[in-house]
Amino acid sequence: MRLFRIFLLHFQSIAQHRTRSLVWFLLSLFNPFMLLLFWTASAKDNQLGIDLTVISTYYLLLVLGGSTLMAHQEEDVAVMDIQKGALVKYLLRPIPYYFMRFSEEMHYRILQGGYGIVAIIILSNIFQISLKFVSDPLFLVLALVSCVLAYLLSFTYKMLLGILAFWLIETRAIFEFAEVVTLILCGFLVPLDLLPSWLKLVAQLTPFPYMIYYPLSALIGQFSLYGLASILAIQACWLGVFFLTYKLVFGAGIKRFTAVGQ
Amino acid sequence: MPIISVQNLRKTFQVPYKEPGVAGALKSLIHRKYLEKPAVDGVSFTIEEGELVGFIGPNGAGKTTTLKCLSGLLFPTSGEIDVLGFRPFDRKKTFLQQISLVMGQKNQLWWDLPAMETFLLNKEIYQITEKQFQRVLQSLVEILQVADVVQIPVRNLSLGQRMKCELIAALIHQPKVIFLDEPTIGLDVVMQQNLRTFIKEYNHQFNATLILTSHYMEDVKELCERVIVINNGKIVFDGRLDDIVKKFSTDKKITLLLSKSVDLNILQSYGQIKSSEGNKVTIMVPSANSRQIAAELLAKLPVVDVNIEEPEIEEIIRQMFTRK
Ligand SMILES: Nc1ncnc2c1ncn2[C@@H]1O[C@H](COP(=O)(O)OP(=O)(O)O)[C@@H](O)[C@H]1O
Ligand SMILES: [Mg+2]
Repeated sequence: MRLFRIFLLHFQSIAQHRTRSLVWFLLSLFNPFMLLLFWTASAKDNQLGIDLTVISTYYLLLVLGGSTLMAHQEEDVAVMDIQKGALVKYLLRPIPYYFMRFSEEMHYRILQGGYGIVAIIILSNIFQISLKFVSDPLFLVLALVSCVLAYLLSFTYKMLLGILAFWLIETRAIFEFAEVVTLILCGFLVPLDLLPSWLKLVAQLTPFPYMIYYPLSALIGQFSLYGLASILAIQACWLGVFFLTYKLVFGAGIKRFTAVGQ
Repeated sequence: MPIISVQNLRKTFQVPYKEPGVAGALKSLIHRKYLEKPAVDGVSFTIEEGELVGFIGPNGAGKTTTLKCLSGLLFPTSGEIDVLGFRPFDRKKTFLQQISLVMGQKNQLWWDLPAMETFLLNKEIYQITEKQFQRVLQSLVEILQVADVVQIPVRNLSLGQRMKCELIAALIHQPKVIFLDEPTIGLDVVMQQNLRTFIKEYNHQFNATLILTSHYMEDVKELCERVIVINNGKIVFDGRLDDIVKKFSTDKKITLLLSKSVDLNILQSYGQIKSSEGNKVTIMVPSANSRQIAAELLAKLPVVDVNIEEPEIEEIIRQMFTRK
């Protein structure tokens, strides 16, 4: 209840940034939008033998998934908090930094998710795409749980990236490289099934498809109950690994924190 | 049983070091060198509950670094710190609920929202009951006179108003131990005075233990019975403010009012002339024989009035800091 009230208070502060958030959202639309254009065009001469409703629903969902499931706090963590010292105000309060950052980040996702739903409705009307969703309520609930886990995974991953700034002075290049790798491996450019088979195999061994590709596929209804359950289990495992790693790395890094400029 | 005890605290920062010139830049690309820079260098002291202690020293002396170690922000290079029975760096929840660090430039207030929203956030974070929140808020708002300010977005407030709201946000959980780092910096004289009054009153009303750093002597003079003077990371004095004068002043100040002007060379032979305006001359003489010198001057010169004083504390401290 107390944590919930903290969430609500944070939401107010972030609602102040709704215009800026809308601009970010529109920028993030660009990539899925281009891909959507490409796939609807090639639907006319369907040679690949893929179910195009699935593909176009996938890209439409990417509009939503890319903006709601992917956390983006690593730059703030590295530059504002660690390098410029804003971490001080979190460390002084009797509540974990991880939680406070989460409470702040999550609202951007909710806000952008709202824009995402509007965008999906508009786009699916323009392109005359009939959306293919999972219809069974049990599957839907499990798919949504998978989305929540995906966001937690992405958030913890970005926290981990951010706190590398305890050791590194220059983080920007690393973040950009990590972003490209993530986008490919999580299925943001091309659905995992269309990747070269060796790359698909590599991707499956990493946590990245569990951040976007699997939860979205679950929403479309690509999995059996067993498949869905194993995805949830693997997501939970990765989350555990990420969180423990975060705790360890943070514990080591915080000893190097110098609270510069504060 | 002291509430704060610090033993042999050291904190060293690693600063990247580059040899001058292009060759140095190239070298540092391949192998970055670091200099070990001791910011706090073997500091020890203890503080009892309810004390209001002043921490003074020139810029870069290590005051802020010490406070950051005491509040658990920095991992000490070596030494022991005990605050309220906790090791600060562990940042235990029960420890953080009982302390506060207020820094002049730091802001925890939400910029776009009224300060009240941040107070409410802290109410949740520190798990303050509604009753206690209202009571403490009311008394803080009253002492600081900001009743009409807390509902206005922070970005529209003046520096002084913002500082007061920062103080409320930092004190709303009624910390037992408060570290104030240069709280009066950047404020005008009236606000500085207000803040001093507030600190004094807070110390009484809540029986809180306070450490205050400042390089304005006024703050320390008015507020603190005990001062710790730090220079180059080392404590050079710890005791009552008045004792600084006794311990460190090697000179006394003799002010003479003369009936007619005299040859300054005569005075020069007794001590250093500080000022001479018309018939009023001030000289500094060694404390040990100040009485004897005064007697001689009285005999030799047409003296109307004589006054022997200790030098100003500011003067002594300035001397302490510039000596070697
Ligand atoms: N984060 C930091 N990294 C490197 N050096 C620092 C850092 N913080 C302080 N220092 C150095 O440590 C010394 C003490 O600084 P500080 O504690 O801020 O002094 P004060 O508060 O007394 O002015 C200074 O020489 C300062 O340059
Ligand atoms: Mg300082």
